[in-house]
Amino acid sequence: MKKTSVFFFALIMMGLGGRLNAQQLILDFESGNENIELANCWAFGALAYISNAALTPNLALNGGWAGRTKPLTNLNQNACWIKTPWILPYSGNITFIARLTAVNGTLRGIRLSYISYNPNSSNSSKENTPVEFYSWNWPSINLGLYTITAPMPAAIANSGQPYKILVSFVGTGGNSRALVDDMVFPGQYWSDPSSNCLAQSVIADADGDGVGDQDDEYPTDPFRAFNNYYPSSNGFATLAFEDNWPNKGDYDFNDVVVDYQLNRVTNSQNQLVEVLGTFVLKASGASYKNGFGFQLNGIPSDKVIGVSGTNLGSTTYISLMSNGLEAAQSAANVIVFDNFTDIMQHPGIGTGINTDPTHPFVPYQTLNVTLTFMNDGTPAVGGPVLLNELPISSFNFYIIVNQDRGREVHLADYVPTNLANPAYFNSGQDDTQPGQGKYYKTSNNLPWAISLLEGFDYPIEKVGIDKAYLHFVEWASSNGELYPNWSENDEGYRDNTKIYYPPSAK
Amino acid sequence: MKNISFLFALAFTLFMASCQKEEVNPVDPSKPIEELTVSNDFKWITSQSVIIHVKGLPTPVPVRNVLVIRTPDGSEILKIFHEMSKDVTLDVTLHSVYSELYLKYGALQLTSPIKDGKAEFSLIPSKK
Repeated sequence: MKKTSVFFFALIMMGLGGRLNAQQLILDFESGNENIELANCWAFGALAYISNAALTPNLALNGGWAGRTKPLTNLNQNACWIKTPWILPYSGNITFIARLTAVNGTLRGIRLSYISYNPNSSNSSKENTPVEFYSWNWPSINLGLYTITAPMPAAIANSGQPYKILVSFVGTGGNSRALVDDMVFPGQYWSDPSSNCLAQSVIADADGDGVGDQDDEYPTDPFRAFNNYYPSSNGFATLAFEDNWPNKGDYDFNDVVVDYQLNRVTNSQNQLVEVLGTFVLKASGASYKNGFGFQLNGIPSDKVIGVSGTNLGSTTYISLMSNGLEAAQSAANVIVFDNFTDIMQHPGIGTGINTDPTHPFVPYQTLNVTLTFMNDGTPAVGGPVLLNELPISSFNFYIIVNQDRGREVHLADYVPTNLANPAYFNSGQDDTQPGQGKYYKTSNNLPWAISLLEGFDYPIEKVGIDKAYLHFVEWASSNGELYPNWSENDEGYRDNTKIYYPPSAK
Repeated sequence: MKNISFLFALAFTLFMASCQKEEVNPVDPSKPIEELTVSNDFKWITSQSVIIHVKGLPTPVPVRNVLVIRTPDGSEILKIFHEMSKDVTLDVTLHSVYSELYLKYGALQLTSPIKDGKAEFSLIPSKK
């Protein structure tokens, strides 16, 4: 089993307050924000960052910032202190500069201790008791600048084990404080700021992709790491269309009803490997032979290696490229099916399929569609697609009405594809205004399609959605502010006599 | 005197009007859908898109861990492998009823309200 660490060590100095080169950990306070060092696993007791500009010129240390203790009136090593993150100590000298802020007090001194790591400790910090290895006192109480040099103890240097170094400032009498700056510790940074600042551990990573097995949803596949489900790993969203566009429909939103779940599978570089789409065909309250597909807004066709799992029958109104995407489109377009009634057969009575509860139920049909973006780590000719480049809002779903390729119906304000016939716009009740970003809405902004993240029990044939869902009108009129959960089956929310339920749900 | 009374009444009315919380116009639920006029920017969906900004923590060495975005019901809606020192902008879609998001990065767990379609997280603690 391959093992690797989640950490990658920089070999160059980084411009941070708490920083590291290959051999040293440095604290020069120059971040000016102790929260940054605290988050990087440094710890401070009765010591704060201070701008040199806030000090009288004769006290200023190097750069713009230093550390300043509270008045040193305690010999306890846990009174005023700086503690490093976990480091793997190397041999060499610990160095830093220090001076007092005032000429008063009886004794002022510095103590250095090391703290070993105990992973089995019940203490959340996993620290053992400090062991003092260096002691230094100011030779007199004065304002001089001193350079402290203390060798890393041989007992811990190059041991390969994690330790912290505790720098304590002690004193008695008076109220003078200590200023400290330019701290250098020979060693390698070995804390994990993302895991409660514990010492980093070597983690199991069977496929060597950098993602630990416990976080890797494909622990033995170096080309996959994560699932990104929408709406959730066990949920389905619903798309519901009216197909009479550009003319007004009957608002039963059951002419094409499709449930769907998407899973954007990514690798450890957050690149899309594939999109797994599960589409459940539920109803077609229409006499038309409607198709269904989606455009990936902003994603060119040459970014996709291939498409599988679609259902394109014998009709010839759809032209595909070799990768399975629709031809003559600037953005990637997947036609999931070209004729609903090829997949779900009409029951032989009535107009539609699964929209009249008195007619036979036709079992739902599922299509599992895969869009491949990378094969064994190699992207399509157009290059890789980052997860961020394909948010859920980029999935632009639409139906194609009655096999007329140019007659697309999209969700409100989603753009038509290159193959939409512009002659339909602004005919019938359509009031598309591209200049205003308005598409597929009437003059009073009614749509021909709706999308419900939580799934949807659609109305029966010829019953407007407002009659089946008793708070739909308030939801729409309030711009979604009122009754955002209007589709739930709560008391007073539905007229269940006007909603289609499959036999299994009755 | 009349003028003063009138001006006082006018000022009082304006003052009260300015203090009144803006409310959603009451709607007649029995109004047929065909007669509705809705806002130009209404999308007819029950989800919301949220842009998430994550401010990174400058670290002495590159640290990578899994960053997960969760909804209040615990559903994971986005997962990336993220370098802690980098800022990142993410785009997620979740139900419109939610008004906050959760971020988990290693052992760090943060919460952000959703305001105007945005959520902000910082891996730098705001206080000790």
